[in-house]
This record gives sequence, structure tokens and C-alpha cells, in this order.
Amino acid sequence: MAKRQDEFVRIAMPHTRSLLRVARRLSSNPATAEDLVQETMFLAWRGFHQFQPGTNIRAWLFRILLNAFNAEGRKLRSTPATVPLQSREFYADTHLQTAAEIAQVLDELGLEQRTALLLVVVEGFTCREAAGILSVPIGTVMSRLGRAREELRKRLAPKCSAKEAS
Amino acid sequence: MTCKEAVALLTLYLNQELDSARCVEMDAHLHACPSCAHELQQQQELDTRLRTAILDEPLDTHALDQRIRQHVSAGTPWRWISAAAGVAAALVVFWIVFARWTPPVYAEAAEDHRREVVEQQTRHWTFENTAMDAMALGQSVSPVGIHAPETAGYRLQRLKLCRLNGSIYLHLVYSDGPQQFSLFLKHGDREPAAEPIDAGRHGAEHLAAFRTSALTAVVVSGQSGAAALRLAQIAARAL
Repeated sequence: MAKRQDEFVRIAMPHTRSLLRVARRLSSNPATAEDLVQETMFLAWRGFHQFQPGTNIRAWLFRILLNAFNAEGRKLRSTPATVPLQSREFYADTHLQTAAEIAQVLDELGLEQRTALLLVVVEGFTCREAAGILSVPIGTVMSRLGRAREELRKRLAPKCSAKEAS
Repeated sequence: MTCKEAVALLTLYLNQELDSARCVEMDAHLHACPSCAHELQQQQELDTRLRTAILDEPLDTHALDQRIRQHVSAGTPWRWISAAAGVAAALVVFWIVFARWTPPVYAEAAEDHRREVVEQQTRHWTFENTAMDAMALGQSVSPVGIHAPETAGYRLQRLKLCRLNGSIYLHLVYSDGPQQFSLFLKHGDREPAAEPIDAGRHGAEHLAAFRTSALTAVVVSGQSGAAALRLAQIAARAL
């Protein structure tokens, strides 16, 4: 048992931060995101005997996270309020504010598009790995990513133009 | 390669997921086409901005890590052991008391098992793990839970949806080698108090059923009552 615990701590625990980062963008609430990651890690520990050593533990954990989010997280899920583009305030061009602005725009995307961007662009999974995590065909991941990038670019563009104009 | 094809493959190109032949084609196209090269550059810039914005956010996982470590170091939680002991005790009582009892849902479960597993009448089953997990999730049942009996030597073979007494259930078929078992699961849509395992018989089929606040479960075995009970105990612990 101790050996199994050590193994879990060694290979699964380092991914808590990544899981929490994604959970926060899914649930849009720090407290519920922590609950979701905690539930994920408890489920992972319970099912750790099913994990095949040598396979991708990170993808396995993210799959559990998204399954837990879908199965248990309906009450945790929050749909961020959509803010009309023209009513958003433009940010000054500092790194911190730009980051906040991008995070806000990301939160406004649909859940599927947001998840695809988080997995592939932020967390660095390949499209094939993301397809496995989400249990969808790779083409679906690619189309979600395409739409997500297009939407992101569209929503960020007015601000960029405004900054350029000023 | 056309511009349309190139744009469609940009994501795979950026992720280095293209095969070498496609990659060479893509390189050549990007070299010759300023428009697609610009598109690639814009996509890279957007990805970098997004990645930096999210990765730079401050995150404190200290308390969360502590809770997880405590949970893991506790090994098998006592609440599981006590729950399992309670289930086992109730099991014995109900095994003795419910020799003749067969409510409609259990009778229909036994019939389904006989037709679809014993007689192997043609049905549309799902065999692939990912698809089975998705179907379980679709019924709000934990995918980890449905695989849990595998650790006790029950291999999850296939799954389908069925209707028992007017409600949709997952029908999972496990095998311990010589024998196949049916496990019918329905997500609980209300919150009754957890009920202990009932055991009984319908025709040639042996049944063991339990209900928690999360779900209703019925195990059917043609082998023996004890075999059905054993799988029900495992399912009660895992689900």
C-alpha cells in the first residue's frame, strides 16, 4: 500500500497545479475549482490500480477531471455572463492587464471551445491526446480549436485596433 | 497544397502532429504563400498570448495538495470500510428474508439478462471503453466506478442502454472468466436514504440489488446467489 501511495504522490501529485488551472477556467470560481480538483485526485487515487504505468498520467488525470466536471460538476458549472463587445472597457497596454483581458475573453467562449484551447494551447496536449481526453474524434478537436481561435481573435481585435488608433 | 488545406492543417503543423510528407508540403506552401505564412504567425502570436496569460496567473495549491496527501496517506478510508461492513451485514439479513421477493424492475432485469446475455439475442452493444465511459457519463454514472469491479477479476465486456419498469438503465455485462453477470445501473434523481442490498431470485436468475442516494443497482447472475451478491458488494463499494 505504501509503495502505491508513494507512486501516486510521485507521478500524479505534480499535476495538481495544471488541473487547478484548467478547473478554474471551467468553473470560473476558485472554491468550486478546488473542489473539482480534489474530487479528481480522490477518484484518481481510487482508480489508480487501473492506471497503466508508462502511459500518459497527465492525460489520464485530465480525462478524470473532465469526466468529473461533466458528471458531478453541473452544479459547479457557471456560465459566465456574456459582455457585449462594445460595452467592454479597453485596457491599458500593460502585460498584466492584457493577460486579464485575454483570460476574460477566454472565459466568455463556449465551454467546448474553451476546453479545447485550454488542453491544446495552454496545457500543451496534442490534438490526438485532447481527443482521447474528451472522448471525441480528432477532427472535432480541430474544428473546436479553429472556431475558438477565430472567436478569440475576433473578440480581442477591437481592443487591439483601439489601442493602435490611440 | 491549397491555402484552404494549409489553413486546416495549421494546428497540427504547430503541434508537430503532421507526418513528415505532409510537413514537407506544408513547409513548401508556407514558404511560397505570404498569406498563409501570415496566418501561421498570427496563430502563433495568439497562442503565445493566451498561454502566457493563463500560465502567469497566480495559483496556490498548498492547501489543496495537503488535503489530497492526507486522503492518499489514509489508504482505504474508514468510511468505505464501515459502509462495506454495513452493506455486508444488511446483505446477510436480506439474503435470508428475501427468498421469494421479485419487484417488477428486478423481474425485468432478470428477463433482460436471460435474453441478452444467456441466450445472446441480437442487441446493439457498445464494446469500446471510451464509448462505454461516455455512455456512463451520459447517464450521470461514474466511468471510474463502472471499471472498478475489474480489479476484483470482473472484466467489463460490453454495455447498452435499456428500459426497466419505465426507467432508463445502463446494462453492463461483466465476465469473471466462465460466467457472465449483468449489472443494471440507474442514476438516482432524488435522494432516498441508502437502502441495503436486497437479494432474491427470479426464475433461474439470481439477483442482488441496492440503492444509494446516487443510484439504483441490480446485479443478475445465472450462476448463484452468492456470486450475484459478491459483485453487488464490489459495486456498492465502488459506486
